[in-house]
Amino acid sequence: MTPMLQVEGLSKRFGGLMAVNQVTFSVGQGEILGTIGPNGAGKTTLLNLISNLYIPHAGKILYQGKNIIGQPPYQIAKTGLVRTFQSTVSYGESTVWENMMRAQLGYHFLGLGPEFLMTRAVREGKKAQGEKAENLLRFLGLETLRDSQAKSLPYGYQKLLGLAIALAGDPRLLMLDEPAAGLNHDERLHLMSAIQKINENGVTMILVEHDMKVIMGLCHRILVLNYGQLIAMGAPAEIQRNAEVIKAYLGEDLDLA
Amino acid sequence: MTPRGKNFAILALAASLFFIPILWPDEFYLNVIISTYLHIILAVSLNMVIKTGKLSIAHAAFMGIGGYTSALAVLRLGFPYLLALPVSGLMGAAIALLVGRLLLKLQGVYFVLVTFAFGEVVRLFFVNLVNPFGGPTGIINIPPPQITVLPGMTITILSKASYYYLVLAVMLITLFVIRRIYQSSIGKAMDCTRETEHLAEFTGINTFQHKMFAFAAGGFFAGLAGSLFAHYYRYISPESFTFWESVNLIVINVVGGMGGITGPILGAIFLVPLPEFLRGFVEYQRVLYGLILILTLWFMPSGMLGVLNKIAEGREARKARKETRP
Repeated sequence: MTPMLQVEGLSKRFGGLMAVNQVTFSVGQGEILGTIGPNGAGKTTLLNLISNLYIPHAGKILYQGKNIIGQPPYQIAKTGLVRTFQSTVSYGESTVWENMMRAQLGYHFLGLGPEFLMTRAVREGKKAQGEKAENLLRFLGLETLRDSQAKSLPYGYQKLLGLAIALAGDPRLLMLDEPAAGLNHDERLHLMSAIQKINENGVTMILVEHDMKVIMGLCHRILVLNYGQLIAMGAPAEIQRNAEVIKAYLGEDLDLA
Repeated sequence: MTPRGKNFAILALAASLFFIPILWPDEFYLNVIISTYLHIILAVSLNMVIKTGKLSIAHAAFMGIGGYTSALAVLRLGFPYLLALPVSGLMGAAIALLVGRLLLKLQGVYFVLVTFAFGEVVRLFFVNLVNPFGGPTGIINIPPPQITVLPGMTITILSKASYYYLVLAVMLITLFVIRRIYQSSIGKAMDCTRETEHLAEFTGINTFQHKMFAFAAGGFFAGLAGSLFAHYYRYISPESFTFWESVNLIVINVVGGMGGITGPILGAIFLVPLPEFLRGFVEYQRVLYGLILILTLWFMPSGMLGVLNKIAEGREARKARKETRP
């Protein structure tokens, strides 16, 4: 079986800085791959490369066996490679419900002509999108907030809305950029159980996260970056024992209780 | 108001415009109203470009392209007016598609600057190419529109009242089409593109396609307005389509409110007739115009539409309070 994602010799330079340097790894179908490393290690740059926000200087990105470098991001999203952002996770001025409808707009856009004429296919599509929005909001426990303005939501709910927006694209590979940052204990547990359920539905994931409890609790394998280089890769237990990782990132007195 | 009630109110308002030349046949006022309608077409079509997050100061250039296309199509090629009018719009759209491919890749202030440069290039084309554009003196003796209603029966649109109906028809079609675009997924995609472009792009929205569409459709309607302008004044020169006209269209949008088509309509209704009412104070006309502009923006930062929305919200809130009172 081909892996969901294969990254080979990927490099990105910003001026004299190698933000990502010769990184090679693959993600199997159904896997949750965690990505950790100190600030500035290149984690978000790696996501930006895989989602084609940046063009790499060298290397290959094969998604479901096909090279995707150079494709516009909207097309990549349409093939099921979906990502979230650390900030600007939603359309702040719009309500939760409008956000969910906007989130589905691009995937179901039938062309300028039919959309302008609001053909029958367009109207029926909208009905189906409404049901899907309803289901996703219920799944993440946001259904009572549907008429709230997105930017007025508590921070944890804003993050969940970001996740709901990503799920609206029916992802096969979902990349989450620090989904737990800024969440309190309860919100974090809620998020973790949601991620678990999404994964059980067959969605492969790449998780960039600083929160070790989230990473160790969810990920099947972990990739460690430092100064743009991959310094370790393996199961959570291995990574916790890896001397280089402890020195670069985890610290000597890590408490994972 | 219910959507149906709202649609009915809009239809009634549009129908009432039909009676203006009958009830109020004063040439001076009809002239001002025709100019206002032309500016509504221009300002609303510019609003569609702004809706995608792109502030263009080339809109008057597309109006000029339409005006020159129409004048030359009728004078040199013998096109009937009803063909020359859509051709002018299509010329505006075609050139917008051509330059948009490059311009719309630029972000923020770079886009603004390059549209300014494009507007100047277009103007200099008209100034320097004496054949066919007539150079700095422009094109004179543009014939009034002749419209063949039935075979063998042609009417010439010469009087102010008849021209009023021609401009009214084009304006209503423009408003209908752009309103429909705004209500459809296309308009929503434009909002997404303006508000958070990368989120839109990463949720499968082809943001560049929507920017191109808005720019081309904007060029189309500006071209139509240019054609109507040319055959109304019967004379065009490069001076009719300068940078200042583009800025004026932005000011109409800002003063009216930029959220939808209602804002630029209100802005045009307020700002286009304004200089006419200041004619009594010729020496102060420009000063007063500027002063009124500053005061408007000072007291209505979100435009006239913003004020109307606040009044409506206040009324709803009072009504809600009344209903909840025991």
